[in-house]
Amino acid sequence: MMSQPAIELKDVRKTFKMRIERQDSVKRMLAQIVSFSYKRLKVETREILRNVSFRIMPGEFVGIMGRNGVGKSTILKMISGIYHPNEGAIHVHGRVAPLLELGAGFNEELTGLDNIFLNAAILGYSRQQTQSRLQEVIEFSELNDHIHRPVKNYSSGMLVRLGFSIAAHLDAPILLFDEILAVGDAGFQNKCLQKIRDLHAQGRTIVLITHSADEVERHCQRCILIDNGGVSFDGSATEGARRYREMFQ
Amino acid sequence: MTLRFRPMGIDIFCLERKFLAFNLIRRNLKIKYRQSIGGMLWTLLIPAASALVYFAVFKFVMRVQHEHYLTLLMAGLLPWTFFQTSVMNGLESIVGNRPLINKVPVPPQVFPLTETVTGFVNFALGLPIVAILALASGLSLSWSLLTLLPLLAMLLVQAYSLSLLTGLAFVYLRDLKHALGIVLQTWFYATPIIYTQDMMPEKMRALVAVNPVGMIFQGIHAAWGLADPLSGADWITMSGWTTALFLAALYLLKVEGRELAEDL
Repeated sequence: MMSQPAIELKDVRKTFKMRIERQDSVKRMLAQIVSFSYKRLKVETREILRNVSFRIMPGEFVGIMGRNGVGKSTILKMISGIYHPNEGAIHVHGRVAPLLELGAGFNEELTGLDNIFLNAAILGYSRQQTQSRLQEVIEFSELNDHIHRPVKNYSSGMLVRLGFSIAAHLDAPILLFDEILAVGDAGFQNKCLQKIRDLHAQGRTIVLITHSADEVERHCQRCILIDNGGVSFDGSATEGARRYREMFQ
Repeated sequence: MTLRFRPMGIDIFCLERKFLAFNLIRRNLKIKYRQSIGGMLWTLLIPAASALVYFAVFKFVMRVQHEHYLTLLMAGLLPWTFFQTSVMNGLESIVGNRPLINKVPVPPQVFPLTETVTGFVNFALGLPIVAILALASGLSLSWSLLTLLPLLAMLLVQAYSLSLLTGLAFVYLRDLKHALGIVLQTWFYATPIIYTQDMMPEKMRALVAVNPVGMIFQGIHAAWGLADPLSGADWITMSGWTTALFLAALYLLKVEGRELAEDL
């Protein structure tokens, strides 16, 4: 029996509103209501993606690459349900952990421990799920006793470690990463990539946005290149990385 | 076992994300009560200070004749401070959480909701002060105090509805903050907070009914035994206002919620 794709995009089109005029305002509304001529401000739309289609099967490790501003993050945001496509359809089977930013919602006044709960809650986890993973999260972060100190006293490396540690211990079958590995020192980066590979080995589906062709070659099975509003390549990681390098020659 | 309440298909009270709502409220309270030793004190000191100022001006300069005027002021100013703070914080709560709403799928209404609940907790902690003032000034408290429960519940719903309405509108109308300041100031004087409906000239009393929170504040004064009790019609009026504001907020969230992350 063929299994269902974990993620499926069908002819997805996405446009963004561009505000060409100034922002709407109460002042403007009042003035126009008084003169009986109220109109909402006109917005121009710009097409970011058109006819984007691909399927990702459960357990795949996919790298998404492309130039800046080409719509890679928009794709992940649509898979996460933050943005919605204008046309086409997106189907996701299984829970998604959208790790577009590490440590989303961290509050610097609170302790590392408090922030674990806050961040996990923001990412959609329950108290029980968070508590059951708490020990592992703290251990992986290597923060030891610092976990009881306010995060405003953390170095940026410590913050990244805590953020990644929470992200990596969430029980979601589908994990989306958006260039979050560009931070932290080489040692921790390797540890993170190793952890992502472990998660993949456990059967999780991993989708990773990156600008590092080496990373894709080394870790991913498959590469999707986004260019000019659509998928310009979808195939082996080695070939994808080669084409990505070519784009900049 | 999950609670579900989805009018118009919207999880308006964030029951399905209650761990998130709980953690945001906990964060708000922790920060408030950690940063200054007397975080609690400030929450009470501000309405208490204005109560004293109004007391001095209205009792001694304008010579308001009311036996328990200071209690009346505190009884009205504490819930008003809650209401006003919630709406003002609610206005900025969605735009202020742009980085989150844009990166994580969170329901935008969770921010006005948690701001309002945080304000309500602060306010509730201050309620005993009014009781102490009332007893000290020789008022005898009665069972009518129990009417505070439905009254404050309605004030809470109205505060949340307005926080949500202004919070959503602020995404598109960035000068709303200035307009809101003017509205709230006018609203304050138009509401029986530092006076009661019985103190108003006969002809003006109807104003209280056209004010969404008017009857709530009149009722709060009545609960403490400081004003005439509400009539059945008054209860219907304020329930009507509360429902109307709630539905308006729900509708705007339904219309604007889906594309909010992109428009922020």
